[in-house]
Amino acid sequence: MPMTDDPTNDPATAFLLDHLLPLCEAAPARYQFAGPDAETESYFGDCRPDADGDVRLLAEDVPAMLDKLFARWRAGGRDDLAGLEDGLREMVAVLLAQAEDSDEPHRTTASGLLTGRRAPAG
Amino acid sequence: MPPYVLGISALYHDSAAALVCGGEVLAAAEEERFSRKKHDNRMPASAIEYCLSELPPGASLQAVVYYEDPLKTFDRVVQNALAMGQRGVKQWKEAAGELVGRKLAFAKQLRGLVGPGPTLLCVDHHASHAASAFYPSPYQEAAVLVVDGVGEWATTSIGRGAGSGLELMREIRYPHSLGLLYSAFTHYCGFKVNSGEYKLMGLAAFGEPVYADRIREHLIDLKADGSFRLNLDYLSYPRSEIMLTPEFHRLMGGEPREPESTITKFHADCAASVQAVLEEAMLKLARTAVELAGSRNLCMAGGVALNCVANGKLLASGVVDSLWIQPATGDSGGALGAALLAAHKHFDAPRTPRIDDAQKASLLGPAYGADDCRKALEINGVVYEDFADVSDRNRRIADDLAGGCVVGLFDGRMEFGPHALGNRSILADPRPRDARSEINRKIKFREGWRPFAPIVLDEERTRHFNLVAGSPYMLLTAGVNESGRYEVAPTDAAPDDDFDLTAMLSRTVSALPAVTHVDGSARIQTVSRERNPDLHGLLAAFKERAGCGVLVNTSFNVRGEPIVCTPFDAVRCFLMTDMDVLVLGNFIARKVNQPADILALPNGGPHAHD
Repeated sequence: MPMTDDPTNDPATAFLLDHLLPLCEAAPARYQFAGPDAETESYFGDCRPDADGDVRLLAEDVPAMLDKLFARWRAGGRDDLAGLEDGLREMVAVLLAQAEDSDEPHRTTASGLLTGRRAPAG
Repeated sequence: MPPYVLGISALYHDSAAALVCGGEVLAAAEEERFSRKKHDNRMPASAIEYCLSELPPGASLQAVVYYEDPLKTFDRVVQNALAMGQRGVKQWKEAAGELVGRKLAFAKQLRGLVGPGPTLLCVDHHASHAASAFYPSPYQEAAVLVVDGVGEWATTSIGRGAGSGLELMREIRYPHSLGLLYSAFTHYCGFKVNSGEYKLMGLAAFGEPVYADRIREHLIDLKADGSFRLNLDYLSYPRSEIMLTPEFHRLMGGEPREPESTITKFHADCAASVQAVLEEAMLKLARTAVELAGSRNLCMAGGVALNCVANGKLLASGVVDSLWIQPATGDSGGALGAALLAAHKHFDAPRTPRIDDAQKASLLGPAYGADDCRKALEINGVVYEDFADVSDRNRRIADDLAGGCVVGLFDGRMEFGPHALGNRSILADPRPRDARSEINRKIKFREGWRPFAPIVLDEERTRHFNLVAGSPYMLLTAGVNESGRYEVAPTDAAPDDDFDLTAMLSRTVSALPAVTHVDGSARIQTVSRERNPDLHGLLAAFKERAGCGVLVNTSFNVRGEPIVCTPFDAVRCFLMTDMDVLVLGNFIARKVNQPADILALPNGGPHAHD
């Protein structure tokens, strides 16, 4: 069947083709095939250090979020992913622009649905 | 001054907002109720607007908390693409383009809605679920178990709560997920993933777990401590929007059932089998959670905790002494948990457990006063009576129910969570043999093989049901007393070509046939005077009138629509269906009193606005 779309026009696909697929051969398939702990016979893992009920600032600046992501990867010994950085930043920028352009218009007010005054709560 | 904190869940499914003041829950609502789009996953603009309307005059928000870490989700999506390579192209495009693009922009969108004042925070998805389970619970100390499809990475988490502290200790990570395994069978049996799981649970009662060993042998490696690994040779969700591989079809012995096609004994047996495996896993996980936490109180949340059959068996097993499940146990409840976690962990708000719980009967949505109700009735020309005395009103409703009427009850604040708990409910007498089919014929139009749920006076719980504890949020299943005899056993003689589920259910012998499943069980809501005095008064009036403290309680909606929110939604449902009686606060409208011209309205039905 002939391709009707050039997949490279889609930023996510273009990123996959240019940056992710070349890394796939080298990337260890880490999470699918790990066996149970030899001693405890358990598949449980400890919670990540930052998952223990922590509350964090939500980064409002996307480039800063990506900085955190890359820092996390490097801290986790994933230097092999460093090559993704430029491509990922570029793809995210395009996706965000697309999302902004195409997002469904949200209601600015719900007064059309919440007719009348509400009774006091309780 | 305790902090006002707004929690948000959005952009996956079941968007919602919740407002807390310190540890007190002030308001919470799902977006779908306002937008009228089921499982609406968009930015919950209307739910946020409602919650902010519940702020006291002069109060301002200190923080807005998102219920997951978008960056970690993005991390999972990228890592998953790396692991799947060429096979994951489609999945990557969907996740990266539609989900991640919007999620990474979430902070900007949120800031546009709440303004520059509040601090924007985020918590991990399972931490928000865990907080929604522990903080409103009545326990000073408890084990916490979260089981769902997937958050960022975690799919199963075990933790411990004590006072205002909450710690997650162990987890299982994506792609190994009990929720996704159950969803895989939901898809295989022809139901919609992420919303049809409760149908699979209901179907399981008609089958036998004949494939459970096959599932244990090939699909899941379940350890004694409840930890597990799935065999991804059979499950394709990490690399495709299709959940199953052809190997799965071969393993189970057939192609997936087409939606809406005939259900056979094979499908019921598949449902019963995965249900049995899930129950075994939940029991083991609960045992481990109790051991790790050092407490025999257990709090649960996450979509899998909606499995009231597994919940009921867990409670009956004796593994835990006490069980509290967040009523909004799916993603919408994450909004509440995120807000509470920030209140206690970020703002150091103290926590004092309440004897019942801090969920306020989960009646946390908007209420509408008499003026709003009257307006909705009069603008549509509905003839109604005004009952100034609630006891008189309850007696009239009880008379109608005892006379076989199907009654829509709209009263007080809207429920938070997927279940109608008596404020946006359709009620009926559960005793007539044709009650279930009548409710379906008149209003609900849902599958005839699914029983309705009962509400029962708490003080009559053990008279009617074999339930060892209260079930105020309809999250426990237990046996109906004196209903153990069946004219036809569920799986006797039922070859594939004669497997009529509705007929099997109709032959179930029970004093409460409308609410009794084919296996003699019921999904029960207990109603106490303390927690829900208005509904308790109505049930008591029915008992006085009919000698039975049980009613059918099903959600006030028609098939395919969310539960009604406003008086206008309720009037619309009343006029567009064969509902016999509508109760709007203290007003009662009876169908037989309505002028014919308003019952067949042109141009899309009743008026919603001025």
